Amino acid sequence: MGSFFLKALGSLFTPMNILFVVLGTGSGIVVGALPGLTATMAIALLVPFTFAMSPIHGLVLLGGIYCGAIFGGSFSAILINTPGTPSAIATTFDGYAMAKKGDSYKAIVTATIASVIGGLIGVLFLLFLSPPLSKASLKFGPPEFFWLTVFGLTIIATLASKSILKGLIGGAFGLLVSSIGIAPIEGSVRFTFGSVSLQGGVGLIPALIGIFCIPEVIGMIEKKDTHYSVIPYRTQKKVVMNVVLKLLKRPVLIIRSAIIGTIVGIIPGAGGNIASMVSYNEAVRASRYPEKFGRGIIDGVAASEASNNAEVSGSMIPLLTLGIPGAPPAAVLLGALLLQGMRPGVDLFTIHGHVTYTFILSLILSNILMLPMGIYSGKLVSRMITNIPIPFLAPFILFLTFIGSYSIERNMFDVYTMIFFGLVGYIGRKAGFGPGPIVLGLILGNICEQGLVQSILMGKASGSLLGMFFTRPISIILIILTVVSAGWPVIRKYTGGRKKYAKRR
Amino acid sequence: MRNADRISFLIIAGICVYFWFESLSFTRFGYLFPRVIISILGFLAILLFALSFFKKEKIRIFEGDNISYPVILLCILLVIAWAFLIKLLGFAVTSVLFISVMNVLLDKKNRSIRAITIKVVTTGVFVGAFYLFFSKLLLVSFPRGVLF
Repeated sequence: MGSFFLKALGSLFTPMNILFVVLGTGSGIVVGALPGLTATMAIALLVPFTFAMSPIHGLVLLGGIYCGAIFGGSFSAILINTPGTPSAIATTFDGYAMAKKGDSYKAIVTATIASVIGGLIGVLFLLFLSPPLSKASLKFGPPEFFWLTVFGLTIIATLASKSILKGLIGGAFGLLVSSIGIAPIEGSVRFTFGSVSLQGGVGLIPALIGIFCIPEVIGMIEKKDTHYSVIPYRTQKKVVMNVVLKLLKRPVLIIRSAIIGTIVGIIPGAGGNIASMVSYNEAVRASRYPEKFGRGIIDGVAASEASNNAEVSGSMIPLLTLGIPGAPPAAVLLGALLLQGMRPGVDLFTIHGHVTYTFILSLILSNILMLPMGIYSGKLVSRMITNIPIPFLAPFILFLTFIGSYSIERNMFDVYTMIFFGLVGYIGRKAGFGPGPIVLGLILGNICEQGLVQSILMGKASGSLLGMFFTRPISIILIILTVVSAGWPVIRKYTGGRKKYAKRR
Repeated sequence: MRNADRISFLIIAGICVYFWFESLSFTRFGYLFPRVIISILGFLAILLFALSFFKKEKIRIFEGDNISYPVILLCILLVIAWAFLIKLLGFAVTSVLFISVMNVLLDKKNRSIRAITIKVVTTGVFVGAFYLFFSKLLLVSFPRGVLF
């Protein structure tokens, strides 16, 4: 490893490679900031172009885009309450609340610093712990995936800020909607209302854009006072220094979120969206002031962003060592590797070791570059967005939602889906149902169903259905975590946090 | 009846009944997961309905807040029309048209000919820039209509 490492260092710091890292990270941030344009889409669009490049140039460019896009998603999450990428869902909870208070720049700086630190921790994991961690991911079978999603659903207690009952209803509704389309086992065509477009299921990203963005736009229109400022932008001094000092006082928060992000990234099928929500939930549970979450606190932004950027490297651990992508963008990266004639596995760390380590080190550079890019562009974008008049901003955001939902599959049906879920989100908001639980159900539904049905089949084949669900070691750990996570609000209510919890409800 | 919880119960109950009947035609492993979820959703909805009679603080839907709901409804209808006219008029033309109309509708203070012209031109420039960026650089081909 040592000789490859030194060679890779020398290879990375050539003008062309640095240029590709800068280009990749910069364009990734732009793509990520535009709602609906995902890292997967950006990488997929560029993979064909990298064929003509050298393997190092191509991979360095794509790695930069991946890192930049996941970070860029926080911009629109903070400024217009619309996650630019699904990974930034949890960033909206506190990021937008901060923006509404005039602290949009502070939120972006927090997101930037947390993203950089989280990203760097993730790359260190990728560099040093790839082989042992990737072996653990192989032990995840259908029962473990089922329990993982059940554990994920306990986050509803955190997401449902006003009523747990309504949060549970939202989550169940999301799970039901996720079952639309062809069943994973036996192939029944379910709840498609006769539409061929629904056979592939409800598009997650159009639904996500609609449910988060449309209610927000209608909320802007609802305000009678349409003067020329959506949210007040406050010029503050020493924002960067203040945020750094605050984050330095919370090292556990960032490190814990980065570790969660890396672990979730390693598990195939669980993406940055799950990573950021799990981290957010853990941040709330571990906090001494849980009642402040959701009202605009830097801890919430930092937890989400540190986690989703660490997930980038986490998703590459099983990709590079086993050829199993941990997340959709990593799956596209696998295509880029194969296009260059590089097969994941031992060869990548021996025959192509020079290329692989240059790629990994370029992720470090990309993460470091996000710091100046985020801090300087954050101020500019904050000022720009917050000073656009509502009569122009509201229809323009609608235009972006149209572009975002259409661009994924170049399909008008996705635009109709986005509008439908937007209206569901708006009416739901009026009736006291938050968007978070619905989206969580939508994300986890497919994995949950597949895990449940496959586990039942496995249990029947082995002759012990209960044994399949309740005796496997990782399942037991996940069940314990689920019980603790679901019971935590109750425990908190009756031990010390009674007043705080009551306030939060 | 404007009680949000009771209206929510009626809608969710309707969804549960419809989805349950639809699931009757599925295979065993096709209906297993949806039926479990429908049962949970139905139970939670009944709980919401029952608790609505004991709640002191009732959420009343689309009432109060000093919001002009006719304007909101008009905007929603415009968005739906925008989406459905894209195939007929083309993405760029429809977008310029509807952003401009909504801009004028929402900006009650500036409705002079000059202001409207500026709005339409600004919208055209923005939409044009985005259209070119996506179609030429990212190779996203948008629907073209009878005009463009």
